[in-house]
Amino acid sequence: MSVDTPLRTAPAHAVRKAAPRRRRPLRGLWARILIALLVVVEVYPLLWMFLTSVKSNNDYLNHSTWSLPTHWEWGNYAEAWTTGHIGLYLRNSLLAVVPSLALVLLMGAAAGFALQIMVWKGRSLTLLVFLAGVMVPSQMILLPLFTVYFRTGLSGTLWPLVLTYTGTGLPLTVFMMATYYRSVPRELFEAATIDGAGILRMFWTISLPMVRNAILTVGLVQFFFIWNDLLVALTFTNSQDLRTVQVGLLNFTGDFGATQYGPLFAAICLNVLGTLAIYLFLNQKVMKGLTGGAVKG
Amino acid sequence: MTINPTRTGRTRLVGSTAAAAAVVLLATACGSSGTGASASPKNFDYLSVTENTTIKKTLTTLSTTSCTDQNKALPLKVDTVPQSGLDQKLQLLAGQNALPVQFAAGNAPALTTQLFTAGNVADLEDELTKLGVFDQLQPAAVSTVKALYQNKLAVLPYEYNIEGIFYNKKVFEANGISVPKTWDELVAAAAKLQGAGVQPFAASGQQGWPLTRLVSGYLYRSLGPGAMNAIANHTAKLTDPEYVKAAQQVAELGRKGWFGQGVGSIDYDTAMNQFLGGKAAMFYMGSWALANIADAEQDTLGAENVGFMPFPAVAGGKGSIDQYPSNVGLPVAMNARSFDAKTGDWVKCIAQNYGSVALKDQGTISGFKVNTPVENANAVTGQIRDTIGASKESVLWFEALGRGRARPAAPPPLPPRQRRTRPMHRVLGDRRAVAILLGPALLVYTLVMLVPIGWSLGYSFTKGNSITGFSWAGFANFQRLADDPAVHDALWFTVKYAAVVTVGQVAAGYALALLYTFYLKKASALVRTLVFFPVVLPTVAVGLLFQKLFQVAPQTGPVNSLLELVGLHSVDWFGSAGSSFWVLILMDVWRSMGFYAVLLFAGLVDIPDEVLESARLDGASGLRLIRHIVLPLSFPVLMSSAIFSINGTLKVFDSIVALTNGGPGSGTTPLTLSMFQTSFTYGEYGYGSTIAVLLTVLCLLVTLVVFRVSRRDLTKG
Repeated sequence: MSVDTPLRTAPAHAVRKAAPRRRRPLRGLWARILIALLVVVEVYPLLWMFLTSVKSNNDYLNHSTWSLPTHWEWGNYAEAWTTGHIGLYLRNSLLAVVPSLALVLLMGAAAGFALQIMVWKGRSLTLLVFLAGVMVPSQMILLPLFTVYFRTGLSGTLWPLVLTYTGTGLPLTVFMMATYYRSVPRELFEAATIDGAGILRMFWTISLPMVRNAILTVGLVQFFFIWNDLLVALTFTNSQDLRTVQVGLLNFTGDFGATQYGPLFAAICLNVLGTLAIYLFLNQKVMKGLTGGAVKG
Repeated sequence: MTINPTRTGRTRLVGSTAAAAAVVLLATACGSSGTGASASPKNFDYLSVTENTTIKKTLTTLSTTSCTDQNKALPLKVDTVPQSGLDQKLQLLAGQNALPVQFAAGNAPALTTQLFTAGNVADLEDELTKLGVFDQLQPAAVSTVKALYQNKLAVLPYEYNIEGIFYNKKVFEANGISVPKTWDELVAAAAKLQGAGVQPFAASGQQGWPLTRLVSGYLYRSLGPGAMNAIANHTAKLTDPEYVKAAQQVAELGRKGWFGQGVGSIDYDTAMNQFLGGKAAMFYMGSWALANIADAEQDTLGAENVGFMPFPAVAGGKGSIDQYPSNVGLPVAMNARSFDAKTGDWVKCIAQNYGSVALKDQGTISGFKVNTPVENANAVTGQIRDTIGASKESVLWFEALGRGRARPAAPPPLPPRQRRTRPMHRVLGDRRAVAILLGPALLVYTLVMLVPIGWSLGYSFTKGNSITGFSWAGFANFQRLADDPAVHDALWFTVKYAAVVTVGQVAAGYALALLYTFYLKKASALVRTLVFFPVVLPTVAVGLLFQKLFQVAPQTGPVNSLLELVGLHSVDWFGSAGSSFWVLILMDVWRSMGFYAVLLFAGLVDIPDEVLESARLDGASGLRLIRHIVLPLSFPVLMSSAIFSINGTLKVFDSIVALTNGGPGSGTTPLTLSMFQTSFTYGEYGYGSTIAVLLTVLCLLVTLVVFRVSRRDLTKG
């Protein structure tokens, strides 16, 4: 669904690489070493985590952190799955994150449109009010929210999480969306108005596809904020059946600060595998949006 | 320009979705007020901490054996919360009158005492006497509970521990050391062991308490059993010379290296493992360690080689060697409001049977009498059980009577704030459309954030918490804030941290983005994904990883190995606030640079190629190209990255909790953590809100600056 914008320069793929660039082999070598180093620094933890996840507690404590396991303790994964209830927590996390993410993106895109493209008095002030919310620490709203959720009987469901994530995710989303809409040429909408398009249709059929890339980027950001949240989930989940993955990971801490490291890391590995898959999926989409040339964010 | 005109149906969808969201929220806002869930509970609810599994297991066993009838009438239901979140949870539940039937008491006794005064916690001495089972409690346990909770039996002693020094009999014999009776003998023994190449003590400095217990142990011997009460009652100060002397004596042991290297970063498991693996000769610990000692897999030393001795006497001291520091493990309080006949039946059954079941199944010593004889697993267990049985007097541990005061009062009314949007005009100024598009977001935002913020702002003019109620305090909190050195330190730390990490994250991310765009080009997908990887790691895992990377003991971590390789000395990274700070910075930059790289990469890809080509033809290359062409063109996206980053770093919480938990001391405590601790651990919600206001003001100032800068330059671009 590509909308060519008359005022922006057309995507340059057609004219790319008119002249071949010179290569300097020495610079290439240094860059290669740098990249190799970078990859090691980033990948080693993955390996370390995996190795730890198949060690027994004694192995973990008595041998060097960097040694291979003396005995491959695959039982840690079974332990993580049963004691850790990873399946249940994963389901809870998804049930909390997906609706919040959808609401945040839809409402955020709509509000960003209203604040940036539409013209009315007080929109600058409203944007500032939203921006102020970006900066408020979430610790500040916990007690009042807990009171409200409790009084309205929402405690004991996942609703408090969905509502809180939506509310706290909105400020940043609105601000980001408004910023992205700023780079969409206003003339496009003015022309559409002359063509007789209603404003709501304009939002849905013209503006949304134009900021699709932005929505995916913000979505990616918000996904990780919400997925990795501990504080809100810890405060509002009051039963075992409602725990999210992050809260569940705390289960592996035992008496007096003792930890079952093997199962903990097995659970982390399972968790990371899931998020990595989601990232790869979203990443594909983001990059498709970028290289499609339809949108310049 | 292609506009698809067949999409009108979708418009209605947006409207209805928004409307639905609004209805849900209105329902939330106007829903009926809850009832105080106190009278006649449906379950025998037990709110435990995740870390404790013994009580949970023993109660579950009871529910299927001795207490089956009681369980049928009132089924046992266990819920858990992590220890660190317990105080917060209790305060929130108590504020709603929704405490469960029995619950793990807060980390500081003051919280339970507050609950007791407010009528939320049952007086168990009364209740147990009425049920005729008060004699089922060990006298020593009763004395400990009463000492903790202002002479009230506010909790059940499901666990009862005494503390002392476990020692390695074999090592003592081999070096001709007899069990030390005095501090001087202990020091002499340690020196002898060190001389023989054996580490004298194992201790977890990361947990902190194993070291402070030594200080309190010394104090109880030198000043007598009232030593810590004097501090709590303000008749003595920790800075008095006799208290300072105790701390110095313990510090001296550390200075001589008798706890081993890097004691500050040794965790609980490692310390336990050092002792049970025979690497250290003595280990100050509580009797709960009996479970570890009995476990042949952990205890390679063998239970028969472990001895237990009381903390030695101090020459000329007022204390006696047979006063054992004791604690009730995880104390469990009972809700006074829900204490009915069925609950009573349960408690009676617990009092009669818990002691034997816990000892038999879990090897745990409780404060209940053991009615069915249970054989001792090993000699040390027998020794400790006899000691408890004979003990009539006990002393508390160092932190037992920590901070926190009760203040009765009533909550002030809090005015909700509302904001109205102004009317609009012109072509794109359809008022109804603005309402439909902006309405849902503004509504949710107002309900979930603005109203609670105003609400909390109101709390900053009060004293108290949701248990004791709130009383008007005027500007007292703000005055206190102005003079509080702890808050000043936290503020400075927050600013320093946010500045350094923001610059680090964005700069590293930008460098990576340039690498992706100009060097790797189309081949960057794999590297991009790999570098992004740490972003998806849970904070708990990243914290553990960095602890291991920078550790000095028990194994030298890779960073210190590298230092030694180039001829430098190992550094105890978590031993001082300064070095911890840099590890934190490194961790947060490492963790998020991939994220900023992707964000900035999205901006760089958008720079038209012909602009770059023409600049190259004009002779610009390398750094000049970046400085004069790329940097200005990617300024907007750099700005949004900076906003993201500042947003995250000023509010940093999780990663600090995971890596240092604010330590050493309060050296790495940011405003968020300080606020959280003040509000929930110390129960000063009013003052906690005031700290939050300070943080919010700081954030708003920064936001205004960033907002100005970004708006100005974005309109230009």
